Amino acid sequence: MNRRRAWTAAILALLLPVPACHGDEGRDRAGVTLRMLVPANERPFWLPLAESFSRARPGVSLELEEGPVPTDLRESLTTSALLSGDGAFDLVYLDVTWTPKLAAAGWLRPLDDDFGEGKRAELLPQALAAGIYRGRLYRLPFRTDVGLLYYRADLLAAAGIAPPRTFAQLEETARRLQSPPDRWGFLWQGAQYEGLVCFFLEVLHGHGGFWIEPESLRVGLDRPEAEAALAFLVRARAPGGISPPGVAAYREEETRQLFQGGRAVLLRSWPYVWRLAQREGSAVAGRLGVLPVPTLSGAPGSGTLGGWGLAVARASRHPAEAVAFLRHATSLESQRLFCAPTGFAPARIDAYSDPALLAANPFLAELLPIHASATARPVVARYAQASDVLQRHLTAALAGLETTREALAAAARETRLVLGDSP
Amino acid sequence: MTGSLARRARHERVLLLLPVVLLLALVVGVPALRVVLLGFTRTELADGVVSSWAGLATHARTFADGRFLSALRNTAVFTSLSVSLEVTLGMALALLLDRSFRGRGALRAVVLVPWALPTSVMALAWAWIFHDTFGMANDLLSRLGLIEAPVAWLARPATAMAALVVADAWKTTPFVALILLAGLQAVPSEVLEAARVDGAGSWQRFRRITLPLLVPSLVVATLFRSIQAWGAFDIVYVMTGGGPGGSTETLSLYAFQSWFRYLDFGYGAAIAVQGMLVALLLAAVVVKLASRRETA
Amino acid sequence: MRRRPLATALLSLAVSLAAAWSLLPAVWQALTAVKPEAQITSSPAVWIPSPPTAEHVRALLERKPFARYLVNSAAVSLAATLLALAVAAPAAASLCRMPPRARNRWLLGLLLVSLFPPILLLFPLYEGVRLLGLMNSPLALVLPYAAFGVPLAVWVLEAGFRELPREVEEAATLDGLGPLGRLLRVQLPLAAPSLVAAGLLTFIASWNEFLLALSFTTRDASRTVTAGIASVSGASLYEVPWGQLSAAIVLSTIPVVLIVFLFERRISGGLTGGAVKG
Repeated sequence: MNRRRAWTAAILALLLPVPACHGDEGRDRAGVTLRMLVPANERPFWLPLAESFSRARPGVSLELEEGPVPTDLRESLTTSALLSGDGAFDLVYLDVTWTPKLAAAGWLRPLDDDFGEGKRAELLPQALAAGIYRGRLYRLPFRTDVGLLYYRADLLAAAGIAPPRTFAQLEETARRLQSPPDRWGFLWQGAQYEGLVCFFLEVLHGHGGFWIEPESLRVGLDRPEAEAALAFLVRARAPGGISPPGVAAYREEETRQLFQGGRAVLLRSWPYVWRLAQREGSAVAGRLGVLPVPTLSGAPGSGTLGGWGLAVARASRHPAEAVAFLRHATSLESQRLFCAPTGFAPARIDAYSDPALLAANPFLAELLPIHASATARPVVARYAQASDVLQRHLTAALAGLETTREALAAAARETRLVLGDSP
Repeated sequence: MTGSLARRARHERVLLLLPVVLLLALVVGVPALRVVLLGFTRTELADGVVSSWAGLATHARTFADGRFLSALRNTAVFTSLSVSLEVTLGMALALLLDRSFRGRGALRAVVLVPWALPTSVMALAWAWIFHDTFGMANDLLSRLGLIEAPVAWLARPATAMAALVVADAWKTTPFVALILLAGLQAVPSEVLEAARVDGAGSWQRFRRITLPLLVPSLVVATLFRSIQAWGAFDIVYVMTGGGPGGSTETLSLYAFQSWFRYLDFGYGAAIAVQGMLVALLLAAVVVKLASRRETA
Repeated sequence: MRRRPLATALLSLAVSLAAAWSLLPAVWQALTAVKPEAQITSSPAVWIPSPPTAEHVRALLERKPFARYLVNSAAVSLAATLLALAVAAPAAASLCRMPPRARNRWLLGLLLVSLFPPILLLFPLYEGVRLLGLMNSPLALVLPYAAFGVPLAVWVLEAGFRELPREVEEAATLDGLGPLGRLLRVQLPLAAPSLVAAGLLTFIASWNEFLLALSFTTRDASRTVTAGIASVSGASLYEVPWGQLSAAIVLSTIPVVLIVFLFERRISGGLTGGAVKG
């Protein structure tokens, strides 16, 4: 009898979430330390922000823990840290797509009362909206990213071709100027990972289609626009197409290296390429142009919005100080401090007309209009599942395992299952 | 008198085993139990992670989940291909290293090198080696005239799986070779010599004498390697991320994604547990076959 | 015994193939580590860097406390190995005296324990580590590494002990040695090769482990080498610094490769001594 009770207790103990232990309750106001996980490559640029913050708020300091550089590794680390619920981190530095699930898991503190209209109006509206889940604000954008099209201005000018605005123009430009395998027409990210979804969404929107409507949860993958969009991708890398067969395994870096080596005419990527491609030793330095992604009509397309933001962990024992840091990090001063040396795109609107930032990174002037038309990925709690469904079927179609129609029909069906299930 | 001595010996034996049991219970047993129990729960995200007891319902989800079945198939394909390649290559290496020739000591050290390199970083290197434009694989093959156009290894299901198998075999063949070499060196040379005098060819000697004596070593190598390959994670995570079209996703990868990206803790545990049960079954079959062979 | 020329040619062909298969990818890495940036991404591939550059190694050492990582890895792996051996040796001594049926059951049981891939234990282990306040403590890695190494160590040691003549052990018992005395004074010294082999298997596996190392250390000062490599970075978010990564791979594996070269004879000797009898 007793033994059985002991077993039950043991089983229950194993099942129940580990209780949070509040170890450093003893520390008082004299010294509050906020903690945050940042990628190793960004840490040096965060340090000045941490310093200026503790100057502005004596007694509060920010400890920056160095995380791995690959995003997916940091995603799992962040997840485990938040899951354990012991306030290991007060601040969360999060990708644009993590917000809904971390909010739905109850790990983030709502910020509605802390940041009113005035503060919100300072930030890029699309980037801000990506931090709102079910009507509540959980994340402030800190730096942003947007998909765009790079082209070899020198090659196009020599051939007398205008920069491509439509998909048809893109295909034609690529075809006319390419000479595979030494120079390919068009490079993009086709591996089974989030980058492919970002690119596909741009093509999809350019064809007038949609993936998931966040309000109604309608799925648009089995509509003709989606089929036309996927057909464009499949055609691009088919034999005799404009993209190398290997594109279906490429991520950002593979495409940048080829493009930077002068081995492609057009590249879909993120703003980071600009700085590296202009570097000394790059085969394309001074020969680049940038465009919004194409559309069917030729109107400026809508690049996928990426970027990183800040949130406050619900388990944090110093929420007031953490909120203060968010305010500090999104000030013009901080944005200048962080974006000037890194070349990252800021999240504040006025930063795009800031003389100091423009001097450090003239490219910003071209980015603001591209940002204005950017599209965020759907804010649904099961975003990761939905994205994986899409990734699998897109790559299956690219590898010839499924026809475009089969792939999209299956993706639409599975996406509805994923969304329908969600609470 | 003898009774108490035997009892004491038994007590001693139990006492000596205690540390192993404690360590494994602490580090493997308790966490594994936690995963097993999690597999009976349903996880929901509703302003918090809500876990509720679900009995077998979470486990039942796998039956209708095409992705689970495909991951199971991929895991089985990966395990069987890589283990058979490793055993074949390992056997060849072991036979080679068992001969005496100049530089044998150096070669022995050299073949162990791959085994000393960490998978997590070598997987990155392998992804680079199989890069269609900059990679070593295409460069070598085209220099040797074996391919005409560069192969996009990681972009097609069959070649992506092949690349994973090669990378895994490269890393773990030394382990198999070591164990087989140990077995080989225990084969009495007098018996082989006698067979040679009787006119048996080298293939016959291998087939009739060496191979049967090697069975226990083969079983050990195959078992340990199959178990490790069944849990393959780093190499897939880094090289293909499970793509293209999910054709290289293994069960470990799927369980990991369910936990750390989908926050679906119950289902991730169910995948892990079912994968383990299948592995258990396979191991039991191998052991059964091996012991029958040994007694026969 | 005279060898026919054909056989000799075949043998040298086989030897070169084996060496090429084992070394090519590693050599490719080592070459990449000293290749100028532009030659890393050139096609057709450039094999021999011209001129070789120390740029990547320098950048790596400047940005990362690499020596620290190496020391951490060595300390953690060594501690895990010692713990695994300390735990496995008595178990092996106990098993080799058991009746075959019971022994095989134990050995199989140990094998089954390793059926649960470590990656699937990551999540509960993480909870445990936090609960016990072991984040960033070497213990958080030493305990799991030792546990993961134990099954194979027991297998190897047990086989080694079983090779020892039974009389030796009986004589030791008559001399009044207890089980621990027998283990320390008789069995382990005589089965030293097996001990070395088991130790090296555990050491290398621990040195190479990645995900636990990554998850249980958040401070740079307590990182091991594999986890440290994950934070080797280029200047921007997406840039993968191939040269530096290759340099990191080479630097992190030189110690292990040296150990393998030093102990190679012992490893194969140790496994042979046991002649692993299933």
